[in-house]
Amino acid sequence: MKHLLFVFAFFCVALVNAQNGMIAGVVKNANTQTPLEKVKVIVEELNISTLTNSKGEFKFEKLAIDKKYTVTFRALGYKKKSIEADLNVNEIFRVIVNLEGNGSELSAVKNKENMDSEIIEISDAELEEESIDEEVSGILTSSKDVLTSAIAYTFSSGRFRRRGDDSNKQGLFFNGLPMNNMETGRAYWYLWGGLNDVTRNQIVSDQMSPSEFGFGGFAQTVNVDISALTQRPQTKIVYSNSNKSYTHRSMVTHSTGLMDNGWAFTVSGSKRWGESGYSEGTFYDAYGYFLSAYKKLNEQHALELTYFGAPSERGKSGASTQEMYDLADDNYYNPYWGYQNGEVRNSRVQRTHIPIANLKHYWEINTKTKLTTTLAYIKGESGYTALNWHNSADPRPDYYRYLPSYQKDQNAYNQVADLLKNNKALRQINWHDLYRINSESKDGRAKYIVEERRRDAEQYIANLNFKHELNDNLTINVGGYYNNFIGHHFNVVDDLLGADYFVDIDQFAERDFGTGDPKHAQSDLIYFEANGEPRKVKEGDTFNNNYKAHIVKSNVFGQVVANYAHWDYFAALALTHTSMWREGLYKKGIFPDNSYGDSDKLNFIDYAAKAGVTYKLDGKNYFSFNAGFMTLAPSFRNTFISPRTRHTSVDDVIKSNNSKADIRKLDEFSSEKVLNTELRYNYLTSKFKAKVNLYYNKYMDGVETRSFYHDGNKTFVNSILFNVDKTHMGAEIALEAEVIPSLTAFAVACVGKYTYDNRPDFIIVKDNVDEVQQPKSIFMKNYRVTGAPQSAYTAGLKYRTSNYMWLGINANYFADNYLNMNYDRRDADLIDAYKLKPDVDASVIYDQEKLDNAFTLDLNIGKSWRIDYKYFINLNISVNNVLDNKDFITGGYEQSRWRNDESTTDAVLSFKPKYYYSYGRNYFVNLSFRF
Amino acid sequence: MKNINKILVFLAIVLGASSCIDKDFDTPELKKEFTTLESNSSIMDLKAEANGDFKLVEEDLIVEGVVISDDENGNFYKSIIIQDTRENEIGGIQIKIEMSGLYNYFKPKDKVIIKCKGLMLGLYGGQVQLGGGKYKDGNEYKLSGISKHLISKHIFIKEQNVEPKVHELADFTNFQDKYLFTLVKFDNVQFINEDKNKNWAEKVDPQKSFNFGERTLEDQNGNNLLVLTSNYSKFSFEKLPVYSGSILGVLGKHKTNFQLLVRNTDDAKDMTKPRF
Repeated sequence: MKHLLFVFAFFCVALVNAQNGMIAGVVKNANTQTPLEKVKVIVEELNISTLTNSKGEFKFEKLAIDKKYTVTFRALGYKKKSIEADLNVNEIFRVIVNLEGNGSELSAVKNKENMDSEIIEISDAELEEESIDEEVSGILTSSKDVLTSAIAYTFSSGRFRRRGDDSNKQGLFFNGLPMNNMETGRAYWYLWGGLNDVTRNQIVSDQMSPSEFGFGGFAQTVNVDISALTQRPQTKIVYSNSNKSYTHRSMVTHSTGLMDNGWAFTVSGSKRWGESGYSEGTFYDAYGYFLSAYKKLNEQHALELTYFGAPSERGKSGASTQEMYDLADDNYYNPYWGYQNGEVRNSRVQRTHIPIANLKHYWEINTKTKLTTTLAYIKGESGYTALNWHNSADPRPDYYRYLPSYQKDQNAYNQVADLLKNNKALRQINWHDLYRINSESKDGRAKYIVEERRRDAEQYIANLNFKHELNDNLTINVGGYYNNFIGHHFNVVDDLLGADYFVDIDQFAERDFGTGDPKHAQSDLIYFEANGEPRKVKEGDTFNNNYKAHIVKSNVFGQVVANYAHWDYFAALALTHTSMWREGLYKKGIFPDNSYGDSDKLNFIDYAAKAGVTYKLDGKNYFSFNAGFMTLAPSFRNTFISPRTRHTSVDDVIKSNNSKADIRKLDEFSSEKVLNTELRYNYLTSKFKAKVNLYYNKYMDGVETRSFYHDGNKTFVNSILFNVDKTHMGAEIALEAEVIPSLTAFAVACVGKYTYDNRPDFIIVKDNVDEVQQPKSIFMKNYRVTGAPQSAYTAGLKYRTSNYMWLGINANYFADNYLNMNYDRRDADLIDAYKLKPDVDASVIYDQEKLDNAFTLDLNIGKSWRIDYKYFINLNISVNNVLDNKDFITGGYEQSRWRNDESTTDAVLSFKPKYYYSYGRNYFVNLSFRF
Repeated sequence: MKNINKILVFLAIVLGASSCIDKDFDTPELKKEFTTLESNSSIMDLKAEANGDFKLVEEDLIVEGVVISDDENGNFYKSIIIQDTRENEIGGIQIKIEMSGLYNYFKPKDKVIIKCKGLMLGLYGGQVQLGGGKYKDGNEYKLSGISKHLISKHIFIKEQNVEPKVHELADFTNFQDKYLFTLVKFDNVQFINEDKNKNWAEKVDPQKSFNFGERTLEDQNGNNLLVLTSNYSKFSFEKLPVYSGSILGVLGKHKTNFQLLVRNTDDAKDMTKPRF
């Protein structure tokens, strides 16, 4: 029975002219019968190893012929397997090895194939693409599985998110270390941007499936394996060219593989650069470096040290209103830049360099038991620049008062519209004006500056991972981590724009309190009290806000995976303790007692459990049911309502509300609850594959904080959307059929419906006085969850020729995407008030804006050459959105600012929504050379 | 290791040789441009065009004046006030501009030329203002400010550091219209007893649409004049002068009430004589 776990076959061929022994063979995926590349093949007795090539082949030559050898096959995501090769019998031992998926059939392993670049290189570019906060869908996927490939790559241009999950529901591990951002919980990939060739080995555990590395989330769990041991021994040089975020990319990677002396090294470097990306003004200047040294100490122990980073500097682009896009006649108009001395200067420059040092110890206690210990130290700088100004006009070119729509006089409207249409400089930042104003300022005090909003990080992670194969059917994984993160947030003067200094005062406080008590307006009261005046800051000086976000997480997890002939089971449990607090480094003038030093600690204990069962009817039909429940501590950003100014947390606000008499009481502040269930059916043959997944997910007690200028209160406010319940349900269907051996047709449909289930509470807190206002009920029940298309479809063809050339075409359709909502506009009482005025159609205020469905077409073509079996050249060209659809809105948001005027709905139209558009026709060319 | 060396050399070449992205920007050379335009009308004549109503200026009327308002201290907001600089002309007008921080563009003592064609004359509290257009608010028309983008089409700096003429007025009676929106000075005045210990204005109440401190000056004959100061002004929390003396300011009028607006506390620095 245990042999049913992996299909096992071998045959032997004797060749007379061989003088030495040889072990050779092919490794295949047991289910799909496709060759597996990069499987590590080890001859245990000789301590030598190799990796299979793109056809799954491996070969050991010049072996002593009078011995028996144990040959072990290891591949990420596959069950390890050993065979015996007896060269006494035949000098040449040939074998076909079938490897079975690791635990779950559905684990997708990203293997480097000849075809990989068609998927991966471009996918990487998407990862690095301008997206909200660098967040990405996550996986670099196997090109084998059409469903994950469609989600990771094809659908990413539409910002599709699988099952509507935010990336904080994904588990991201790097070399076994938990890497979800500690402040947001999200999975970010920019820390290793440009290191594509060394981050290629990824073990992706599908939604709701077990992962060796940790509990992860309910969405997929990805572990990026960067070990020098598993890198293919080769030198690889890559040049890429694109019109997306960067123009050029060059990468060089060299890996030695495991050498005779027990060492393995990988070194990689890259540069990505461009004067401007798809949107104007978006320069790109990024590097990547990577060093990894692996040393096998003895049969049981190995150590590995890795150090890498990706210093990058990029000009960003920002969303704007349709009015601006129309005036510019360009849906990719970027308000962030302006001309300075005729050159394009971007005001929003993102700089990041957060290097990671990682020490890993491998301990193979015995053939069935492994213990891996990982330590990491992460420290670096990150931030972005922005304009700041004092007692002067808003310098942003798309500020609503400067636009035609603000002109209530038709004649003035026409004039302003004509000017903006015909004079590009007016649509951009006027740097010269800012310099002129500063130069005319009294005493050299800056009116306008460029500030950098920094969020530096320092983090220690210790991770322990234990794996034991109890028997051929049962594997247990136990692990845990300690993760200590300090996010240092502060502002730095980046450029005084010709002035001598900037005065560090809190302008909102100054405005709201006047100058009656100058203490109110102090960003740094301690400095003010010591010096009698606010700090005059120069370039490089810290000002405005300065605090640390402390987050400490401790986690343990355990998992059992059982595989039998017809049944697979798994169950996993995790327990996480989260402690977070704010450490104020400035005493703020408006909150002298609630801003300096450590805040109270907020502690959350979260538990998570998931389990699943798969029934394997035969080699073709698989049925699975998986379910899980977890609680998820709120992120730091959704816990502290205004960390720039004070300690106040959502918990404080709720308690303050509940302590008042005659007011609606709110639930306690707690972790979000997540319940996921899914049913899967897989049909797998070599010619036809089908997958049908059905899922039903509940999310309860979610929380979200935002800060914005509130026109009703005429001041800056912090807001909390509290007690948010959602249901995400849908189906995923993937079909793949071999039409003729060289032609594959496929179709994928991800059909979802994500809705809000209740009327969440909405609490507004006046920022400057920390005044908690009455909670509102937000009319959101049955509204659609926003931010990503809920359904996406693709169908296409893949054609491969016998001479290593391929062609692919995808036709894609994105549907049911809704604009991010301004919650305040859905105040249920307000809507009732409007309903009493039958002459006012208020639906414009509270209806959801559904974005247009969109169609795109993608093409790709590639060819590989092999020269002397030594040199490999790979060329890949992909063109996405071939039909140049420039009206595809992938997301956006209603501005938080709006005016509530019950007699008319015109006011709401003053602050129109901002949109993001998917790129029009774009290309990516990748040329790689390896030897 | 030999390979690694090769790679490092190659790396250095690839990374070093490729073009660098220039992110250093030179400070722009700044030169102030002054107009050569000449005025062809007095401000009083321009105001007369309105004839008591809103009117789009269709003739090529060009007026000139020196800026006497200063929004840096917050007592003027989204408007500048200019006083006629044509010879033998007295008159002033408030120009509404849809932009804050106007002192960065039009400073006190800047002499400006206004090309009025295409702008709108409107009425606020019975007084003629110049703006960018009109719009209906309920049943009445209102004047909108000149859009940021249209400023450079209509307002030009002619000269800087032009001392505005100060019109010394005897007392708070019989104000002539020509002195409205000009710089005026009164000698021997003081804030009334009820106000003398107050600040210039009140604390800002964002919920109020009228955010001004109203204080009263008296002349030696017991006539009163309202001094209006924005709660948003930088000196709103400063104490009013307790003593008597001379005060400077822009004379305004709302409906039938005359009022005085100071630019900053310097305008009242000479109120140092004993109260009368």
